[in-house]
Amino acid sequence: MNKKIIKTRQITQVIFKNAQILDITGPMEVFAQANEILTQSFQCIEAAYEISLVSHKKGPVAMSSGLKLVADESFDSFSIAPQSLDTLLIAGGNGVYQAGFQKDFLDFIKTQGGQSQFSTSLAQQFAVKGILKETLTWMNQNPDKAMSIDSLAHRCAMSERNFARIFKQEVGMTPGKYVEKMRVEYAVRQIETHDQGFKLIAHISGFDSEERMRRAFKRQLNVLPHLYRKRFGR
Amino acid sequence: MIKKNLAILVFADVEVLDFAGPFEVFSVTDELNNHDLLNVYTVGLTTDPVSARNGLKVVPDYALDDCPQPDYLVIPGGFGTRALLEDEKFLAWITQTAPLCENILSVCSGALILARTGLLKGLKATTHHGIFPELEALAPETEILRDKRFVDNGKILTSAGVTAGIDMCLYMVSRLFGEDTAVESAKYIEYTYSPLQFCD
Repeated sequence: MNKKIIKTRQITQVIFKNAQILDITGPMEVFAQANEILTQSFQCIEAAYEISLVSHKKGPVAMSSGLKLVADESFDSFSIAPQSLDTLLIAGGNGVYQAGFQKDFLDFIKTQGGQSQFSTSLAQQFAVKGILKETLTWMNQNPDKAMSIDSLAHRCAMSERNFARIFKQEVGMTPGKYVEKMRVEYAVRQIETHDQGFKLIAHISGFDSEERMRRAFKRQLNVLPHLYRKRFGR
Repeated sequence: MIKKNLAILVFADVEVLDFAGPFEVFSVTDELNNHDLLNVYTVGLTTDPVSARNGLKVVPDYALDDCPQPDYLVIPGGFGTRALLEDEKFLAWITQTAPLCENILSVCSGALILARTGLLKGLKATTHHGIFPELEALAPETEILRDKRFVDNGKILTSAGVTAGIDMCLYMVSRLFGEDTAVESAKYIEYTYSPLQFCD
């Protein structure tokens, strides 16, 4: 069999003092096993999943059970660029009440989480500028409305240029990219909860055509709508 | 009640859940009971950080030659057990320590170490389903039970792969401290408590 070259997925787990060890080690075991299966059965050359632990400080961190796990990196020297991180896992446990109030912990999750396992409704919660927040809420509630940059900028009473700049700064991506992500998310929720045809779903989610929706799904989720329905639909 | 010592071995390429599952079960049990029951700690060959499978790094609490005598000893599995089968110093430690333990529990391929030191002779045992032949070769006088999550011989208990270690440890908690305690611990870690049906 020919060896396959696959893209290595970067998985990072956020850990903290007094986290619950199975929260961390359970997922770790699953990815380790997946790596093994992919290497052996499918002859992949690189590890499919690369996992790292990140915490307030690099080095040993005592879990609630006393077990000491070693953080590979610290929040402020995290070496993986936000766009390269595929999945961010956040452990739980008693320590979350202390860790959850630390600025570096929250900032890290905002920066990384806003980029990787992206949720447009989360972006809306993070957006601090009042006028932008209102516009994001409107966008999320009206996916089928036209959303050109100039109309969105107008809504915020900003110049196009200024709007694009502030949007990128606050949300972490261009307005165009955000609109597509938000529409795909909306369509996904329709597929998960309704039985309508794709033409109707495309229409109410703001896509010009079924074909446009297909291409957006492929780009955002790397899966086509009918396959998504097959796996996750009702 | 005097706290009992529960040691969990860690070594290079140890399987993550093989040691973390038992650690969680026993430490949660202690925590839910006012820290009165068990002193749970890890023991490495040295106290240098150990790299488990897939790179998770753990700092052992003690090294073999300075660890408190365990009342209960957990031997996890993983690819790293193969190197230990050739490690004379480690095997000597197991041989010396085993008679002083009240119970010894192996998870997954940890059973190979018990087999290598003759501790499974004449007993029933199980291990990860992928290595039944390996265990059979190392322990010809051991009856291998291929369809059990874990096997209780009184002093020595062995479990099948990975998550079966959690079942065995919950069962051990019920043996030591009563079923209510085990059910409570299982509930805390959101695990289904049903170890008795798997036991031989």
